[in-house]
Amino acid sequence: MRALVVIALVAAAAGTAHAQPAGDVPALIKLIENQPSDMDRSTWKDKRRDAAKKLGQSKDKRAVPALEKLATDETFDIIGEIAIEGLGQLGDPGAIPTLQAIAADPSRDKSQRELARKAIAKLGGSAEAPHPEAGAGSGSAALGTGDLGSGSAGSGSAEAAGSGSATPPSGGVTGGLLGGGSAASELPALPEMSDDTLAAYDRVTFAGGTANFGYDTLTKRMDFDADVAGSYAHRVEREKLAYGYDADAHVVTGWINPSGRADTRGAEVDADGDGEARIYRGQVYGVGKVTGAMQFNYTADIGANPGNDIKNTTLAADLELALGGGYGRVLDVGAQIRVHRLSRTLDAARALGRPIDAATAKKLELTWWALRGERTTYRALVATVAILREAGILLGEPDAGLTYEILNVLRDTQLYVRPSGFDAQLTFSEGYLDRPPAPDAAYENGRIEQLLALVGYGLQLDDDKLELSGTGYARYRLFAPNGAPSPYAAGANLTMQRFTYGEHGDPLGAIDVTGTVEFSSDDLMGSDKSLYVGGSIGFTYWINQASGLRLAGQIAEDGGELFLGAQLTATYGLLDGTFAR
Amino acid sequence: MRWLILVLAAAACGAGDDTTDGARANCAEGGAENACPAPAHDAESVCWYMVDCAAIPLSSNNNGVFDWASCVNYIEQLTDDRQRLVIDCIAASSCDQLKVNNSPGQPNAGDFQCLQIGDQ
Repeated sequence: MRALVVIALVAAAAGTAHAQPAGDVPALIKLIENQPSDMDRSTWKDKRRDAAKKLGQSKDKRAVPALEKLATDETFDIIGEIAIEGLGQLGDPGAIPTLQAIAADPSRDKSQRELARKAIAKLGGSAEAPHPEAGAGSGSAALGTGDLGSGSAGSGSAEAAGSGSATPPSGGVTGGLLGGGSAASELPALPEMSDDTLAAYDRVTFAGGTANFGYDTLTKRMDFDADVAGSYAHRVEREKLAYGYDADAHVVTGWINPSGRADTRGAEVDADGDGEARIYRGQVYGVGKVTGAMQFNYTADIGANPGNDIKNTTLAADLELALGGGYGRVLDVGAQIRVHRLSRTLDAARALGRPIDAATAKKLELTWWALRGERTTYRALVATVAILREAGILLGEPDAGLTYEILNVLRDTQLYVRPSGFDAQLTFSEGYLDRPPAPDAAYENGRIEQLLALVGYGLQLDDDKLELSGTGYARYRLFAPNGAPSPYAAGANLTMQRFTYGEHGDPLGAIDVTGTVEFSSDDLMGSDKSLYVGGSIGFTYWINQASGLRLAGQIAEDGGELFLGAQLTATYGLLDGTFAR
Repeated sequence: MRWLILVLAAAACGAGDDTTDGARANCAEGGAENACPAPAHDAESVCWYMVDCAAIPLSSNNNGVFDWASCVNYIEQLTDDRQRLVIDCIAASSCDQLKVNNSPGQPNAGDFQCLQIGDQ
């Protein structure tokens, strides 16, 4: 008996909750259609969703046209899905054609189409309703309208075909604004990344630098110089193991040949490579590092008169090994921040169906990695939209405005090398430096032992628009032979960067503040210990596409000397306005 | 980046000591294990790099000592092509490549290989 009373009370309460007063419906419709002047857009967005839910529960048929409009037009926001469900709840079979059109529309998100099919079933819709799965057993045409998007509404009824015009068929996903559906099957081969990978990077840089050639018949003078550099770096951070290696090469060469005997030629070739491996136990790690380098210099300075010629060739090589331990790690989280920004961009445009999950984030980041060699961002954009739609995260095809904002996120160069974490390590280094013999040379030669300390720090704040980062180092030469110095040095710098963006995600500039302190001793006769303290501030602001402002200042004190510097660069103008008939 | 550098005070080092060393960077000693970021490609920056590397002193009261100011003056009076070559050469060098006999206290400018390219 008591149970019956409880059930009756619950049923009564439910009935009360569902039966909204009829007078509320026009007010709810008005709230959905017009943003109140005293309500900000974000609040209105939430209120609108609530209103759509209430309309669906109202049992009032006056709500049907409003929900049909939402279900048809609002493909970017979750409110569209609420409306589809609401049409099923309202129980008006008049909504079936609209729902059938949605269910048969290949340009709609899968989840929306599934909701429409469920709503049709609630309304007792015809078994011949033109949805892909229903037709799969009996007709191939309906199956074809599924993800492949043949453009037809299948073998559906005339009713469905007619209503299809309310949501014009886009010709399938392939015919959409960005062709995201077809791109999904054309995604690049993704790099292998094990599940325990915390972060990884692969950087290839070939810097042509400068190459200049000049000759004139007036002075009969020829000059040529080139500065070419390239580098490669790869690193993988896993939970229990981290390793990385990089290689650099640098060539500087020049030839200046005025008329007469004088002639200057020079070449410098540097190459180096290093590797590091860490084994972690929790946050504590053991580390091993190896470094090798080679430097070659050639100079020929032929004077205008014989007797002043200088020719020099030197070769130096380094091989060093370091072992030690440390705590923590600093990761480059730039790609992760790009995913966060993408999510925020979709949410602001009311196009975020659900949060970007870890699997989708990984797929996005590896796709961008795989496409990093592309000349344009086109494939990255198409692939990003395809992945987001496939995962049900992006509701519908993005319009022009949202496409522009997604493109801004993908092209944002402020997201490269964004450190996060803390890392400190202490190592003992044993090395052999092969240098040209010179009686009074100030450089170390032969065996060298050092104690080395490194610290790194990075923190991303305020929706990743504020970065705090820092590094520190210390070195001390151990076991120096009698008469040889034991120099030491320690230093640290801290940088704060504030990145600014415009309304549609355009990078507008950055403010950077840096402080540096260094302390060192050469440990030579007559040499002082020296302290450097310096700071700099820079502000870059893009006023419009043709105008910019850069203000920078620096102050430093080194060995009792004070240095001040300031720079202001400003340009203002507009892009050319042109017309031709 | 070109900085307008103003040396406001230049005699703060101890009396009787003719040279101010300037603080050294991590890469000044210890070989390739200790790296520094490459300097900007302008005269002031590459001369700072030579101070950081313990190749030259920051300043010296003795005439003829090749210090930071002498380095900047020397590079800036070169023709554009030689200036470019000297700056590129210093910026690409390791610290040990830049050191010469009597570095950092009293180096002889003629011993620096990168500067020889500009010596005409």
